[in-house]
Amino acid sequence: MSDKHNKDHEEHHILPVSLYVKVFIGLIILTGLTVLTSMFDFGIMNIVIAMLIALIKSCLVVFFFMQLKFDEIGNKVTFLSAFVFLSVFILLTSSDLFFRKNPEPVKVTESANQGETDQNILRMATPALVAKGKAIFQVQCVSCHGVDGYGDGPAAAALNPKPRNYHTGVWRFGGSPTRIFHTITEGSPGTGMASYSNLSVEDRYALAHYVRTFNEHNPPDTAADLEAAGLTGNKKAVVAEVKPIPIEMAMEKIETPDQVMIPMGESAMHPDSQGAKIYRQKCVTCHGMNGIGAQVPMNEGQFPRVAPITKSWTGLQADWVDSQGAFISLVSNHFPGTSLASVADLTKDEWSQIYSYAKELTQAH
Amino acid sequence: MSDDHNHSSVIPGTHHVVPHHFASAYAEFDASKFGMWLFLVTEILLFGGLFCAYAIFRGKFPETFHEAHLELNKTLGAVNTVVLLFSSLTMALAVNYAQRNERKKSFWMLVVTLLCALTFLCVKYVEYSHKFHEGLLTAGFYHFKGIEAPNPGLFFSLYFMMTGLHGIHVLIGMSIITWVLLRTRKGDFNSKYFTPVELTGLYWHLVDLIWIFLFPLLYLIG
Repeated sequence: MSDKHNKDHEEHHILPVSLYVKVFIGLIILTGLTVLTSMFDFGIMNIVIAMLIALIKSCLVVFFFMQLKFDEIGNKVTFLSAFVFLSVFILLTSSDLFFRKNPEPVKVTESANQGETDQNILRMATPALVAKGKAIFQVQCVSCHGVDGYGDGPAAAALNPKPRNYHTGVWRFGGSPTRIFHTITEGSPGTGMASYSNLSVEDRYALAHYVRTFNEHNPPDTAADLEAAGLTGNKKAVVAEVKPIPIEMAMEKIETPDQVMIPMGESAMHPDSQGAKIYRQKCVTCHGMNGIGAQVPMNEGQFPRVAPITKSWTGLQADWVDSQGAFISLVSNHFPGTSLASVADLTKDEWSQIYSYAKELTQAH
Repeated sequence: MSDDHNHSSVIPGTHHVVPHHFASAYAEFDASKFGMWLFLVTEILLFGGLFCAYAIFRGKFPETFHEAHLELNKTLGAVNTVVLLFSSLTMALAVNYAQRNERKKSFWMLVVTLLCALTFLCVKYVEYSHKFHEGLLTAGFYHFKGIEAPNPGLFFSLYFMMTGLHGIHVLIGMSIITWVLLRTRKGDFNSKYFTPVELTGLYWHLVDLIWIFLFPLLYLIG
């Protein structure tokens, strides 16, 4: 037992005080060195030098001040393993910074044909086009495809096959901009997807770019796509490299709240009448308090929206003023390209109330 | 030390009783020390998360980190580094003198260590109050106008998290050093039993170790 006893005493390493002082002086010199090197610009080497010096300093502290150099192998392995795990943690996480690829730039070709040039420009997504597409989508497409593009709009229940869910990234006729443009133009035979060729070319491309933002894996236009769209002829030159819209920006676009209409005008006539009540429920957001229209507020940094002001109808001496039937038909039938909401669920009495109220409003001007 | 391991034994010159489940006083010392090293591993991984966040955001916003670090006071940072390194020296010497049975010297070394820690926190207080005054605060509260790079609040979120957590460690270290210091004065430790002094030393050196990395990463971005 006494052997063991003696061995115990030997285990406590008592280092000379002078060694500690030397280590301290070394640490101070290294601190001075790291401050000194930080004053010069070595580019990327600054951080490497600083970390190297910090590493030497920490070794001095760990091995001498903490006496790990004279400690048992178990303690050495335990403590140093922390740094192994730490570097695995930091290096693996940081690797994301170095290996994350930005989307490949797409080459734009300018064509001699004016119409083709337009399409070749329009098929490149821009924030303005995506914003415009969103605005048109909210009017033309949400009833089937749903507000968020999940194919779950109110009308979807009655459809078979179901409307496209844009989040899946699955396409019947291809998901590149020109292919989606083609589907919007021609419709999808055998489904509820009609042709929207009544929309302008730009509007159809805007829609294509917007619905592409729901899934980040949608393919870009390939040479075959362009040929199918007839956009390869009479190539002049490669004029620019345009990057596709980054997915973060697209997501931001999706998340911006729907535009809010501010009703214009102040006074409403006969505010207590039944007609006024229906008007306030159904019409006032777009047509304004006294039928002169509404404004879409422009927030700073927002892209312009379509139809920033609705047309006033109070000054018009249109047919509907003289016939309730004409009024009902006008309001029930959707104006092509406008966002007049459906009000077809009104009863006969309510129709006559809103009709007379609308008539009163026109006479007030 | 008793040869009879079936009974607990008092270490001569102290009131410390070696619990009966340890074969010897050294076995107890060894186990305690291993426990401390394990704890220090968790400490490194705790700070590791913050260092990782730092690496990612510095990689993403290098200009922001460069511009923001100019608002830190290099001189005060360097002074604090020297103060902390010196406190590490005195802490190591306090353990050394305890091993040599030089209780008085050990006591005074602990006093100096404590004063250094206090100095460190005072300097930190000066730095923090300057930042608070200027609006150089964490992301949500940041309102300083002088930095043009994007997301400068990000740098100061990391600055306050990292130096703040380190500062809390300094505070905890100070209270433990005070406790060890009082016990040293009472004569609880000698060359046969100085485990608390040794373990406090390990903890204090780790606080120093963290600062060795924090100083160049926060104050000396090239």
